[in-house]
Amino acid sequence: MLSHNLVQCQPNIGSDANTSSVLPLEVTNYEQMIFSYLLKNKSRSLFPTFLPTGIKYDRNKLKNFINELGELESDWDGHGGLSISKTIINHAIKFIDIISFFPDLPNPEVSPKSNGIISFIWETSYGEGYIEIGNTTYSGYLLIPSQGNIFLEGVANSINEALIGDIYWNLFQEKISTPITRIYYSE
Amino acid sequence: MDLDQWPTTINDDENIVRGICSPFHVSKKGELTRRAYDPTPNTDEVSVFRSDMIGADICKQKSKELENPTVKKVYRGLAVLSAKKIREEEIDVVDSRGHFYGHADIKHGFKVMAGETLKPEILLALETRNKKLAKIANYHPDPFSASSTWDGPPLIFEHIETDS
Repeated sequence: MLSHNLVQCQPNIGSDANTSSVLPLEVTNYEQMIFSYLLKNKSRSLFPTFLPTGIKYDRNKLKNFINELGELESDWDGHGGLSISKTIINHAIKFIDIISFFPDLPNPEVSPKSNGIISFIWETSYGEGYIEIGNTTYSGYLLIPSQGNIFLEGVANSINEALIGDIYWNLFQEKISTPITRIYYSE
Repeated sequence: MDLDQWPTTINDDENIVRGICSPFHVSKKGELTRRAYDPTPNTDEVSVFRSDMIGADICKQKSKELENPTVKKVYRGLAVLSAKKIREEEIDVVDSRGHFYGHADIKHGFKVMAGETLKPEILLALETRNKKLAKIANYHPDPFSASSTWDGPPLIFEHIETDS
């Protein structure tokens, strides 16, 4: 199972002991990702980048598609495929809302599964990210040949930015060679 | 040979055909997707035909029985694998003539339950396998889908090497 590893960080205002403020923080992979992104994109502001604009990729179109999946009738595939519950549609729409916080994250390939749930797939040169959402749970994996497999699972309504951040970080971002373990703030 | 004379054991060299009726089982590029080999809900089974036993026309006619154009479920074509290739994925394909002569099931070995997700480890195994099956299958879109006879290429599995 994926654990959103927490990294102990101590903000240290430059090297000036007088201004040093040692306040332990817990930084998730998602925050690491944002920090790394900012480091690489110094000229870009955080907020315009991470606001849920969905401009680069059409999230509304994706939501419309998901709503259409909610209209599938039983046996939609000729092999006994089940219709998709309103609960799952709502979970999937929320999932897209969270994806929208990552404007540079391409839309996943969205498909109905025969047992009446929805799958989301990203495939890149780094590997494959897969999430499926059911009535009560989500499940998935990150298949990263260079790192091994990361398994994802939880309650369906617990999907959050950290999970999507892991997908984004592992499949769409250049890797940094050294993990961030400490953040220093300087004026 | 009469159909009831066919052995229930499926030989490795038999061709195994899946009827494709869903737009979600074919990509925009016209390629078979991994969803084409999802098990029937609440089972571990994927319905297929023993085409060597019943012939291509029956495979097509049985597939067309599955379609319902009013709900956008339209017969599109047939996908061919060999029993050997299926078994190389550490799953089996077994005769299930209780449905009708020529019917068989690919057995994934674990059930997918209605409306619920699989454990991620099992899910990865299923997705990896389905992706492989969809990739190596010879998918033939039906050039004359309205007719009752199969006029496409012979339903004989041919292994095609791919780059990835």
